[in-house]
Amino acid sequence: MSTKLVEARQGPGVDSTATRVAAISAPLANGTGALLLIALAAWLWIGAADIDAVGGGGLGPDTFPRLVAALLALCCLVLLIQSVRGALSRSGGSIEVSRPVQVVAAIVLVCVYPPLIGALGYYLATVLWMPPFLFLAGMRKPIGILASVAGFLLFAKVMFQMALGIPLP
Amino acid sequence: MLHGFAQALSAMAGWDVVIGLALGVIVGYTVGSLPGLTSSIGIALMVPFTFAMSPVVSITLLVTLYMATEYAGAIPAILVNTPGVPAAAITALDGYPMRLRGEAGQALTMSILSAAFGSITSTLLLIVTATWIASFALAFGPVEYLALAVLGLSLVSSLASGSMLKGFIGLFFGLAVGVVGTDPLDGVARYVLTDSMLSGVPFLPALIGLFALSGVFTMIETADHVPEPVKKVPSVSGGFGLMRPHLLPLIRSTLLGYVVSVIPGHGATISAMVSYAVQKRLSRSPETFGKGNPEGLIAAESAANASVPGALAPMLALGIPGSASTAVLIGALTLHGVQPGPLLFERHPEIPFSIFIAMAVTMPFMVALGLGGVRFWVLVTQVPKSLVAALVGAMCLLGSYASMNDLFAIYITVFFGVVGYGLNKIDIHPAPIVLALVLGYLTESNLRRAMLSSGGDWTVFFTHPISAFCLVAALITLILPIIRGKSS
Repeated sequence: MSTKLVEARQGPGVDSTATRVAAISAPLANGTGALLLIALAAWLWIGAADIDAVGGGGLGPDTFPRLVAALLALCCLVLLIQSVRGALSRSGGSIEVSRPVQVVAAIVLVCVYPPLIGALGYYLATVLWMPPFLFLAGMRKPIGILASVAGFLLFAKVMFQMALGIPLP
Repeated sequence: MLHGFAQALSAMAGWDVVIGLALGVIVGYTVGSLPGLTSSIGIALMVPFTFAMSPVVSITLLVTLYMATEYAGAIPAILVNTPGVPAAAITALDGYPMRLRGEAGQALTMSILSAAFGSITSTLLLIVTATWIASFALAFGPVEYLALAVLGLSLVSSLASGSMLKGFIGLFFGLAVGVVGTDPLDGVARYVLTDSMLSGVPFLPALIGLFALSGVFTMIETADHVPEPVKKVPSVSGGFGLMRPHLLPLIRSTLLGYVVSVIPGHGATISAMVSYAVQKRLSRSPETFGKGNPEGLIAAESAANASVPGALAPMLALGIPGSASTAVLIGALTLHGVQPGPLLFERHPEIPFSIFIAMAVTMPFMVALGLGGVRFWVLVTQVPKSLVAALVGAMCLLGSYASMNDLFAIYITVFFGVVGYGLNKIDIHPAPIVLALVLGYLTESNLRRAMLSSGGDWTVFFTHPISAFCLVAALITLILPIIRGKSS
């Protein structure tokens, strides 16, 4: 994976600024995706052996999952072969991710959020989670961040708890 | 039909329907005005709000949201050359040059009037075609339903933008997710990791993850892009008279938009593209297309908006999604205990007929809001992407929790959001996955029923004429893009 700074003009009348872009080899990304999905297909196929076969005649409850697993594995295998060929011939281009640090950090933040709600409850978890998420998304003014968090929590309280009667944890 | 309308009218008699309708239009306009948000995302995010509503109010809100989003995407397309929804990219081809020429007000008026005409005419066509197809499909058995499901799944060729192989991978990934839970015939648990998965992977949290949360990560990539400032907010100018010289293109594009979108998988973008191309070919001055020709704008807008009722026809009559947004609508209806398909017209006639009524009634609201509220929608287009990304992200997780009152739903949304973003990066888009999630159950249950009733005879699918026709159509649907790709 390589990263570069791209000068991007972001619309007429707007000053150009530099955006960091990470480039990943497309065959590598496709191959990794294909391998992960082949693993999923293998799990489906192996798991089908544990499905109780009940009822007489026709197809059992394990047939359709096996069929899907086989077709998924076959398609992913073709993608894997294409990726290997692309990697060997050094063709296939690259996949670009703009602002990679922010995107990865946002994914980590989103993954942390559910256990945080489980431990602290919805409101406290959101108070801790939302400001860094807003910052990662590009908001820099503290007052804007504070107002956004407060506004969203008020909306959650009024709309979900009071109007729709959905209790938040 | 009259009985259906009578039932729908009695179900719609109440302020809650009017509020749902108005809310749908306002939220739809907001979603459509914000580049990066699509009608699928808007519908997925609104579904949790509809749990406390009756199915009629809920579907009224969601359908009007769908309609308003498809129109409102034209506003940023015309004013800042940034399509609010994918189909509006065609509108921008002539709408934005008109704005640069100082004709923004006329362009906005023409776009809303074209949208209104396209939508109302197509709604009338929808009433006729959907009821006819549904009455025809009532005689279907498991063999025909399986063939129909296969035809639906074959639409992966049109929903997979890019590589067909990757479209299939998305489709089989969706089917793989769909087999989790209790099996449809024998009630046997399959791949159940926790009790919460006994009834399968929850559809709405998965949908919110695939469409909305993965979109948030994409928005974060471009969150530092500043929207083009609109220094002088234009007012709409001109009235119905503006459309008089363009009546023929308007009618032609509307009909074309409807017919194209009735073919499942051909949503607003393809309809707008086809109509624009036809209009350009028939025009006396094709060289002015892309340089601010009002006929280009009219063709794109009327077809894109005619495609909304068009995409609803296969959804209501056959239970097959006509577009990504209607796949989300099917999910929403299922959550309310209503299964779209031919039996819908018999069991819940108030649902399809209230959709017809809502679509017809909404249009004046939409025209009024579009013509009167341009200044406000221009302001909406200026909301920073960073704020939109963060609020949509928070909304995804809150809405997901509300759909099940269980933290497990948020885990599912996060999983599908991250996986969806990763798959999107390697060109495996969410639409085929959602198509499989919607049609997986229909496919498996009817395959097994058909095999059970035929005693394991596979030829049954080719001896039933409707089934044979659907399977041949599915084959053509799959092969045609490959042939087109090779020839181009």
